[in-house]
Amino acid sequence: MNTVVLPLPLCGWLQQESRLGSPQEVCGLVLGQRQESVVRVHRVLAAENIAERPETGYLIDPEFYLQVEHQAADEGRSVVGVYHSHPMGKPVPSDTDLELAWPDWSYVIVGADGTLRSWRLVEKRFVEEAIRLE
Amino acid sequence: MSEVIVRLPPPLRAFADGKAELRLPGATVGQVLSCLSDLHPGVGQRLFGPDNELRPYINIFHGERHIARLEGLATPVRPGDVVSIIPAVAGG
Repeated sequence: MNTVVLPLPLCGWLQQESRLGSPQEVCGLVLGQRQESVVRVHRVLAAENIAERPETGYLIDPEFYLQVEHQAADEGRSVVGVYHSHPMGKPVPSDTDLELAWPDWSYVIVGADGTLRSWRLVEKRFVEEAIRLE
Repeated sequence: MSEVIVRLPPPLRAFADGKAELRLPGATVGQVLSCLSDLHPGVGQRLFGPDNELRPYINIFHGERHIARLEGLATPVRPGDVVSIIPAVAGG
């Protein structure tokens, strides 16, 4: 099983962000480094949710993504994943999440109760990753 | 023919031998991406649909500008220009 190593303060920040953003979904990019089966998260960057219906979906502006990718490259890091919240649901991927997911990224989802779980697309289905708080 | 820098996002690098950046010939964004697709068909399949149109969840930037605000795939490129492939980041 792959492991996402998440600094404890970032976990708390994601839970707070999700709570404050409810009932809309919040979203952002996860920066860090991937080494084989371990993803080490260094930063998370909140993005504006520009989806038409932010209560049930999220969409990140591609220009924002481009800026973050440049910034990450300058820091010797890369975008290793995406986070978003399910303000009314569980932290498990929806059908839309599955339809729009990309391989090799960690998808961290914050559930309505503040629980975090992480998922990765493997051959057109999501496989859960362990989250280790440090 | 010019040689253009093409930047791939992390999710597509696995389909291009792990490369983050390639230098490819082409006089337009479309020609450069076509060259990329020929070299790395796995990337091409994720960029273009069966009708050879860009898939809706792919964004292409020429420098800092989305090609939709320029001339689309016909946007001319010059040597040293940067073309970035940006995946749509979305879900529900």
